[in-house]
Amino acid sequence: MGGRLRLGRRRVPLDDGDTIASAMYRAGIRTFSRSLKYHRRRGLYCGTGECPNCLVTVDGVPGVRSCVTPARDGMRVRREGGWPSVERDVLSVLDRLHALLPVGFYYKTFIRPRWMWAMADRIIRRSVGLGRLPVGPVVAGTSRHLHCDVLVVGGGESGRAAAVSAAARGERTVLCDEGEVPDPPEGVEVLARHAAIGTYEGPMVSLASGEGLVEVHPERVMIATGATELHPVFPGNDLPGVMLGRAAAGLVRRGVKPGVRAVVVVEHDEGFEHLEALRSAGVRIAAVVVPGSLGSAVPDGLRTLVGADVLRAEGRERVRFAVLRDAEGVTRGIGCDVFVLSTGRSPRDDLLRMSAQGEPVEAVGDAAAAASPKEMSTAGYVCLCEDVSVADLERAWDEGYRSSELLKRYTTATMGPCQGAMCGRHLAAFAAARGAAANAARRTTARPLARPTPLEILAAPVHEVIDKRTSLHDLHVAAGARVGWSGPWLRPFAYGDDPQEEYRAVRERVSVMDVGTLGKFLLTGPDAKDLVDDAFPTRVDDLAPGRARYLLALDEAGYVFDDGLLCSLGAEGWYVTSTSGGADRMEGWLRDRADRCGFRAHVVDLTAERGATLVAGPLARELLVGLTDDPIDREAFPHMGVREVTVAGVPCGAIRAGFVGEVAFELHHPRSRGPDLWRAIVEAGAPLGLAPHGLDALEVLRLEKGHPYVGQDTLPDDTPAKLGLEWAVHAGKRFAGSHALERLAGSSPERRLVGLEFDRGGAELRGVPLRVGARIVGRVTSAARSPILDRSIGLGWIRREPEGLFPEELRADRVGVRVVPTPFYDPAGDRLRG
Amino acid sequence: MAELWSVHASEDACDLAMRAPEAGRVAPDEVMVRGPIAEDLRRAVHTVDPGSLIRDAAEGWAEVTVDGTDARDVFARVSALRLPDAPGYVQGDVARVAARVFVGEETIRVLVPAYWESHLRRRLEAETGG
Repeated sequence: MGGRLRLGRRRVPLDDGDTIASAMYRAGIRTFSRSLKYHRRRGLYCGTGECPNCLVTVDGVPGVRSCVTPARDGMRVRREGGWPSVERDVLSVLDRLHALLPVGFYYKTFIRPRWMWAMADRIIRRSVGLGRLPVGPVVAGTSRHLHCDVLVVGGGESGRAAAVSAAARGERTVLCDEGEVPDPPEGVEVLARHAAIGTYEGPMVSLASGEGLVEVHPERVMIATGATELHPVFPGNDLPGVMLGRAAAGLVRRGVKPGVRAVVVVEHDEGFEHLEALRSAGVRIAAVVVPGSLGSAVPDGLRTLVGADVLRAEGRERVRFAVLRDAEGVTRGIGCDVFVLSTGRSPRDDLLRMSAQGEPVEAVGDAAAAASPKEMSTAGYVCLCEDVSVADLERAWDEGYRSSELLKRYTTATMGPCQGAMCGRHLAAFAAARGAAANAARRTTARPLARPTPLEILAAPVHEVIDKRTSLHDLHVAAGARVGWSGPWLRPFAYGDDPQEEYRAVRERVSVMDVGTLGKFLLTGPDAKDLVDDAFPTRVDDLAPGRARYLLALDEAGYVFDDGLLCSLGAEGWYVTSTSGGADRMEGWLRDRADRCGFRAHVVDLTAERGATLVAGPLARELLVGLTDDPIDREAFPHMGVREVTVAGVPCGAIRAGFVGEVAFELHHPRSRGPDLWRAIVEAGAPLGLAPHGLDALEVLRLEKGHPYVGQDTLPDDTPAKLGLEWAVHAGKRFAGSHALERLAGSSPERRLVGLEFDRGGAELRGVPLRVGARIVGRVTSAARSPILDRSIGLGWIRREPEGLFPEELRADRVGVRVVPTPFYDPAGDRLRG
Repeated sequence: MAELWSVHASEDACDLAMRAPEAGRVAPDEVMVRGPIAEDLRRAVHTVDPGSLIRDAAEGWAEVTVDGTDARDVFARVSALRLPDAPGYVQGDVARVAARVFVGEETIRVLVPAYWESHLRRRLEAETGG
């Protein structure tokens, strides 16, 4: 391969097959990082991408596992954790200050006086970490879904065998591996460099790759992720030069000599392969430590210590001595520059443990094998990621955290990049050894992510901004409207720089507004009337065909969740409108009532199918007369009437109602005809001074009429009485919520929505607390300056005073506020009746 | 878009409506039919359920067709729905909105409420590079 990677000012030469770590090791680098908390030197340790020791920043991306990442010419590599450098780290002084940073230190130290924590917090945050997150624009990854019969995770021997066997049975088989998969098996779809990061219900397995996320939906999952090497715990176990057998063998495989003189601990068959690898690389074996059962397996000519115990590793910047106690009890320090530990395997079963019971997820091969970690020493680092030692666990235990889950939360062991792969079993064994009950000495719960994953990969499937648009959206944009979010919809807020012009068009001339966002429902079927009667408190029995009525929607508790109009269509059924934001809930409510009560009624959601255009203002009728041949005079089409009319050739269901307090026609039309209708109205209205209005103008117009917005002016536990809407409830009938209202009938509400008049101000008063003296007794929910009234008005809720009366004089910040009756404008309703 | 009909009827009547060539069962009491419904089938539905409602639903739905050899791969980038191998119907989340999907021999027709049309087109165009 050739080439070099850049490590600070150094140029590190590369050989064929090098990982970043092997190239660094060959170049003489032994300290790969500094530990998170105490800034201890950390060297190459597991060699399989499990532990945190070799995490580096590559080309600005932190958290790269250098031991499994192929090296490339020109890579810029940075070691993390030290200041000013990893080799000369001033912060390593923290390793002498354990007393200041005990386990759970954030509850104990730097907390008195109180200001100290703010300072300590800043310093601590700057001194820890695994690198800096890259800044600048993020390129979102892609995401896709994949369906198959069998997903095999892991491309080793067991995984390949499982995949081949499944494919031979004719099952669509996918095999994934976080590394390369040489010689892909025939008939198997192979996803190399795809790391399984989580198993979920379904089952569903998420795979992260350099490009993005693949969500696999298999019929069954086979976990063939193999086993990690056991992580022995003893004093000095984190010194550079102390490494697991696979790391040493991996270096040899890449042509790197792990050291000159090695002490090797072999406690299982794989360890002999590691020993052989070291010998083949020319490493001098100072001693081989084996249990009695393996004594005869050690090759001749090697110094063998049968049954010896590892006491500690010693050295300052790297290991110099392995200190052992032999079978006779004699303590020996054996000089070495690499201390290789092959003490057993532990199944890599986190993906299996993440899956719910009963899910078709099984482990095969080494991932299914049992593991039994050695008894822990009395000292040493258990969790390399979070710098948690045996002493820390003991202290936590003494403080009362007496289960593996509690130990985890208090000490943060298992919470680092390895997610417990190295230390999880130790934590459980520690609790068990101290007599914790079985359920308190379990492995801690496995959760995604099993592998460190960049946030942009995780975010890949959720980058959509989902907007609802009416068929008039493009016309609004072309007209220069300021379009923004209103719930899930994109709607015009204003069409020009002068919102008062839109307001005046409604009050003085004629205006048009896109109200296609309203919820619209057709209720038909033999029991449609019964459904309407049950679902709403509105009087239905006297609502004649061709008439509409204000509709309040209450849930079973009698709380208002929406409002709208109820229109009787005669034999065709009933037409219900809801607020724009409440359409989904209204549909759910109607379907639920129909199902629950067994009504034979069809609930048809027309929200997407029908657009709606409001024509409002004193000249509204005059405008429409020129566009329709149907009678729309006051007698033929009175206020709250419902008619079929054809406007500019567009068939419309028209309702003589609006929210703005002027003569208004809500024209409900086929969605696709909306643009034609809008253009015709705007064109015909031009001589009359028509200007379309948006949500900004509507806010003032509806407030002048005292109409509350459900959601903005109401709270989730508002009853009709609290809103002053008792008149919208027909007392003489049963409906969902009527029992609840009956129970409340005897008591007056403690809170109610009222009209407010302010000394000054406008919309900025919305949300401001209402006070009597210093006491907060309510809140402004809507506020505006009314041009026609030349007053500041609003709505808000207030609480009853201790004396039993509602206050009438209040303050909103420094503004005087009076409670006044609504509507503020045209209280008799003469204008809207036209 | 082709004709699109919505059948609201009893379960038995909906079973009958499923005999239409391109029909999808939306709910026990609702069937969506893409294409015309034969007159005799309409009569049969009404006979089984006189209160049934058969409506022209084309106005309310936007149809986006995904075709070509990689249609299924493109679809898999925006939905977890498992498509049937043979022509058929599925419904569920596509590009995070509720969708109805008619799967043909070589095409996938995704239908969403019309107010989500621009969203769906935008997402699919992003996946297909326009």
